[in-house]
Amino acid sequence: MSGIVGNPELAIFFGSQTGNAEELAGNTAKLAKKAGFTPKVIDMDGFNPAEFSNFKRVLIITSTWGEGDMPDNAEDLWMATNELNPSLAGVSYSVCAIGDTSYAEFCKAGIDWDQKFSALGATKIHDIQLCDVEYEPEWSAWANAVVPKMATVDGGAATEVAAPAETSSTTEAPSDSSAQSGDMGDIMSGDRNLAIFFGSQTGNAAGLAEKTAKMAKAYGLEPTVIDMDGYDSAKFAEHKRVLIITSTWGEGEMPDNADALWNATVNSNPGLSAVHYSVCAIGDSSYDEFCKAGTDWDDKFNSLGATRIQQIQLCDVDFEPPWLQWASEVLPRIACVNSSGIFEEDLLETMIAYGAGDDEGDADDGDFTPPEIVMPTLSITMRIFRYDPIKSHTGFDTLAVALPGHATIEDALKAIKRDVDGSLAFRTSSIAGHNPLSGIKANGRIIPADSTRICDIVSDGDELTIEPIPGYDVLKDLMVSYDRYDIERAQSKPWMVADPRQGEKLTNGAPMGTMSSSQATHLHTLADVGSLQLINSLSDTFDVDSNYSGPGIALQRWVRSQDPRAGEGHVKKMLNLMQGKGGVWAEADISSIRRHGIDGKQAAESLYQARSRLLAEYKFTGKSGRLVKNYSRSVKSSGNVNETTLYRSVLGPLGLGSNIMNGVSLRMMLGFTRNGGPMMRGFQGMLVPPAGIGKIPNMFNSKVANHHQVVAIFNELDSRF
Amino acid sequence: MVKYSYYPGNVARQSSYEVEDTIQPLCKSLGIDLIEMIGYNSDGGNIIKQGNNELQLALNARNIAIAERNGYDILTACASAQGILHDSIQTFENDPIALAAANRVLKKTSGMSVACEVKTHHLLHVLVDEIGLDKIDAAVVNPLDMDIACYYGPHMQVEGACGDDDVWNPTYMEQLITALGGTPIEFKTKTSSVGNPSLLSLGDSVMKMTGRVLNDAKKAGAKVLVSACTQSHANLDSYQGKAGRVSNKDTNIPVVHLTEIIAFALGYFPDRFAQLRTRAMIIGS
Repeated sequence: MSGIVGNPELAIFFGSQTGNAEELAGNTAKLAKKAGFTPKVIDMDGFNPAEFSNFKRVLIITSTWGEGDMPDNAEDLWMATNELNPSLAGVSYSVCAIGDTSYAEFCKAGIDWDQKFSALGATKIHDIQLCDVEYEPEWSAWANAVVPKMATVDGGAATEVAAPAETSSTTEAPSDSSAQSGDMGDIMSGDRNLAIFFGSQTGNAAGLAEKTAKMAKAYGLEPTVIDMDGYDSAKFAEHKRVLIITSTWGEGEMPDNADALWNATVNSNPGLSAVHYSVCAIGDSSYDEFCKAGTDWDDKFNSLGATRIQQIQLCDVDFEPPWLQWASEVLPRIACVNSSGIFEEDLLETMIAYGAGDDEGDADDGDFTPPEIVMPTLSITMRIFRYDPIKSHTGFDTLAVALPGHATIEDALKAIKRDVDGSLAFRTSSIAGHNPLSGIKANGRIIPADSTRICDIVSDGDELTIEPIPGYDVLKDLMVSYDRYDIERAQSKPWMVADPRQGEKLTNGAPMGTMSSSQATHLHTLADVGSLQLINSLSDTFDVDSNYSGPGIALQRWVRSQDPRAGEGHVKKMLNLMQGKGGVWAEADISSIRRHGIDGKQAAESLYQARSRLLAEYKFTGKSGRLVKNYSRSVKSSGNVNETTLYRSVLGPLGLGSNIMNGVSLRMMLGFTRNGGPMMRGFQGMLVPPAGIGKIPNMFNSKVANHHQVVAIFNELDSRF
Repeated sequence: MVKYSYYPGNVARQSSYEVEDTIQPLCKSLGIDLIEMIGYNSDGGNIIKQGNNELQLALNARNIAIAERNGYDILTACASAQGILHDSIQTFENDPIALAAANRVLKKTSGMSVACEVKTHHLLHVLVDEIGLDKIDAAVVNPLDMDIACYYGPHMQVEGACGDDDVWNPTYMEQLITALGGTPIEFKTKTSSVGNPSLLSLGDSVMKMTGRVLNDAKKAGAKVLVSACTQSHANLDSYQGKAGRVSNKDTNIPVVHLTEIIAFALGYFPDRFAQLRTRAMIIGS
């Protein structure tokens, strides 16, 4: 704030029709702020002219509209000022007028304000600047001249202004208050352009450039991704911040889109002394000239006087992890290059915190207080399943690691891949978003690795065992093939198939292609799970029965069978698939699915609903149908389960014969289960009809007390039993 | 003396009477008073639920109402029953429509209603969380002195249904076995399903699931397998040979109910315990 006399307040009024004057007012405010002023950008619309005199320093930036008219937002103030004619003695001012010399009344609105202020006794501290359609250079000259002059004006005591509602904040910098204060405020309010050049043959470097640009915004940078193809090498010097991401083609050559620019740069050798830069080079270490294009650019920029803000990053074929590391490190550094091209290294830590979004000031902005997401570091032992498909070797790698508790399992795996063993294979999510195929088994739990925090699985000092999810073929390490799922899905076609269109309505009378919102919600709820592929692995049956299509497929069939838009034939097909071999009855124990959190519970409930529907549709046929029917009748008849009759009725003669042949009946009869308990219990069922052969003792259930209540419940709710 | 409404489940007083034989004396020794739930009925075994969810809920509502009439929480020795009762209670606590529907039927058929005033507990969790391992340790007469694997099954390994034990890597039974003088043997499928609800309707897959659990326990070095699920016991024991043949795995291992092994350690049925030791010695090599 050096050199400013008194109150540093500076009022900048704008009269704007299309936004140009408003933009210039904002830019003027940035300049003023850097000079130590406290600028206020004020929309003329709604301003009370009696309050002009509250300011000691006034700048007016206005366009002219039509044939010398005030812009719309200045019209009322202009008229009010002329009616009121307030005294502006003690006010120092200057005007920047924007116009078009092709009009007769060029810059008339600005000239009017200039004359009016002068007439009302204000002191013109700098001559009016008249700007033509290419107004920026003229405005820049005016602003750079008038702002220092305003510093010499005594600002007096601070003012309280009843400013109109549209009075805006002084800058367009990020809203983070801490970022705007002090040195960070200065750096953030200046030029924030970042040029990201890519030299790309297959699109990888271009993709990384786009990703880098997205990350750059977190540091208040304004990135531009630039294709090297067709770029003028002379313009390199216009940038203060440059990042280059390039692949290498063939035997150390530039990629096609970079070839011409490289040659031009080598020939013209532009001076780049005001440029800070860094290079990320993608290559293949199996080639002799690994990453040569990138190293060439790095050397060239260096020789042309540019300042290397971060060492070149050389990336092998698995380029994402090293690129991410490079981007994470270079962006906060290059963000500390100020608009004068100076690297303000002392701001680096603050900038890193700002980019990470963990600046304490954030929590105070607005009503929203972000939840605590930073968890203590956990020191754990990770056991990671490894499978080498070439050598057919399996085993576990054991590592002692310390990781933030809030990191995901995927974060941990990525860190291990980056720092310990680059050959570790697993599926990952993209930079943003959830990948339903990222499932792994972590300490017995089937979970998505990309959205499950380490602290939700283990505590400090625990062991974390990571294995591939069950039920699918393992390709390598933790990566499984989802072919089984894809094939089943393709074969069952659980997508929408309506009846042939014969008009506006389906043959069932429903409007073509529509359903009520409640029906839609219901359908979505039936299979509202994060990953249908993962749902398959929740089942303990899925990996022992290769004919089982899995609960994830069953859910999709069930949803489609309930879809009111689906044609009758398609619904029947879905029901048949569910009822048939490998369908929902192939699931041996829905409880094994149900215990897996919200998704497991939802899937289990839908499977139970599907089974109920199938029992009604197919009249309790098949072993599963007979089991439900006879189990229910058994409970109704006595209040408890009569296992003997259940065995007989469900298994049938063949099943009972199988039990005899396999020794099941013998084990029951001879009392293996009872560790020396009375043998008679075992023989009981064999000797006394109608028990038959099964697990028998005490099978002649006496009825429970108040048995009529149980019967009444059945009669009330289900007369089928 | 702590009191619980005792729910025997579907088999403890039918095909697996050895559970009933042993739970009564062990509870007496450890100061647990089992109050009869007069007129209790089957919980539906999640099989009736497949045909009619509302019907299974109403049957469980009747059991819960009986326990509430007793005035004590429910205790059961069957993991499957524990899971089903817990699920029903949770449904009634969280879904007033389901509660109202069940109460309407219950009122009409028995004059009772559910007020959601009782919880359900598996014997295992009562022993560890309430009775305490020290007290159990002190009550041991015949230390187990065997390598024992513990099978929990999936039914009660649900958040809220297994006391303070870990849902995914439970250790309560292992702690209990240690207190009883045995050596717990860890194996990785101790919470996996053996497919008991489909024992009669599905063939090979249930046998493979059963064979996997038995073989894992055996490979881990166990001489005896203890089951906290009286229902799954049928798969693990009676179907053991068939499971071995279908899965082509070594499944030969003595299997006992949790209540039996506790009762043996506390000095009950020494003859049966001796027979188990003999079987473990002969088979478990």
